[in-house]
Amino acid sequence: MLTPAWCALAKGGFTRTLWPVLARDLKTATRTGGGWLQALFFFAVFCTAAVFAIGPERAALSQTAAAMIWLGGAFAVQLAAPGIFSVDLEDGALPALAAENPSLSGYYCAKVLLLIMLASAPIALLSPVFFIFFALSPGNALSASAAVLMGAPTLALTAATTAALGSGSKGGGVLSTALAAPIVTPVIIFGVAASEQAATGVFFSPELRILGALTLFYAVALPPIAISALRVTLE
Amino acid sequence: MPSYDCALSLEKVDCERGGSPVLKGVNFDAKSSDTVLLFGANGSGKSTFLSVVAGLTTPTSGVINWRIGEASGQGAIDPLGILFVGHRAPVKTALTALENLNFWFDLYHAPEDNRAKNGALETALERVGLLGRENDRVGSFSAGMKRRLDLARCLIAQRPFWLIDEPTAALDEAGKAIFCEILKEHACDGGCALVATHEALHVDARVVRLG
Repeated sequence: MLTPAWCALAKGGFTRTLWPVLARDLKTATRTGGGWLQALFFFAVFCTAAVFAIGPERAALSQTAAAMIWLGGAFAVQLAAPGIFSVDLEDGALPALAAENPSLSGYYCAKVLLLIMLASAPIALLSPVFFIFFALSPGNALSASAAVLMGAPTLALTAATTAALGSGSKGGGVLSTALAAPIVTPVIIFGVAASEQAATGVFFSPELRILGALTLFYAVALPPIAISALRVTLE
Repeated sequence: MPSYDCALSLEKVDCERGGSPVLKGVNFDAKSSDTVLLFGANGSGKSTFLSVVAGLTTPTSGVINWRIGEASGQGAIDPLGILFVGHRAPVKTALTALENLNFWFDLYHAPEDNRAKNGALETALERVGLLGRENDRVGSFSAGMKRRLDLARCLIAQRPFWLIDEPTAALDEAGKAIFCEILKEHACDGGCALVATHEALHVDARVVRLG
């Protein structure tokens, strides 16, 4: 079941679907009244609320900073993900695209890139501001955010995969959130640890390396699962 | 205009959906210049038939053979040989008619074909009667106009096999006439069109009843 996905890469259907889909979706995103800001907005609200919930004590704030920012980022990307597939399922574009590129590999990669560009990368780029809210010094905030930026592709990959797994059912959002837990948890564990280490001045910590390794592992392991799930949705 | 040479045959194709059989022992042949209208009651498997030929649904048993020019094969047809137009018009309402069609052109063609793009898009929009509205967002279009825009895909794809599901739903009489013209031209070019429909279209076509 997994092999056709990679066989078809060579046939040219991959790039022929990837760029048009990505270009179309980016253009659509700019026209939907700021809909693409949804993930970023959720992240901002989550982090601000967390600052108030934890209270004014600087030590408590800086201790929880990395955990809150990674959680907020992960949830925000996760929430934005189901929409990226449902738009093409609702109007019947997915069957037409699958007839063109049966492996859906180009389509899936376009959607992951879209999620990186519209959700996880903007969140990572905005995160220094929120690290400062959490009483980190600007320098430390920047290096802690660099770890978030490194984890940004993984957050998008995991969210796109769980969204694909939930795409077949009406309650897909709930299902995909449940499925996301075991896949996202390792990213959060090592992401938080990497950001904490970075904030104390150790940027290339073992945790950051593990985060990098996780990203590479997921980049190979998750796409076939997601693509198979999308194919099953079409059947 | 390109000229096609193609053939398709299905032998004893069975297909299930959600555990219940939809297609039972379907035998079918079509070749260049054939226009085939698939008739059948709701649930008789017209869409499933098209979906099997398009390679979107795997049949439970049976054989599909196809040939396009020199190339031939068994199983799902080479994607570069088919155009699949489903029963819903997959147009994005936030984009203009031209942008929607441009997306499909990029999908159906190699980047080398880009020189001919603007002309091809304009001609296609003119044929379906949407020239003059090409820079309007599709959100402001009626269901029939969206359908016309979707059918414009037929004019830009340049594929031998057309698999079209319920093309005339929401189309007015003029729209149906345009679609029939497009089908006739495709047959003249040697293309093969399979059209699932409930309406008798004014084309020289073979009728196949399912179910």
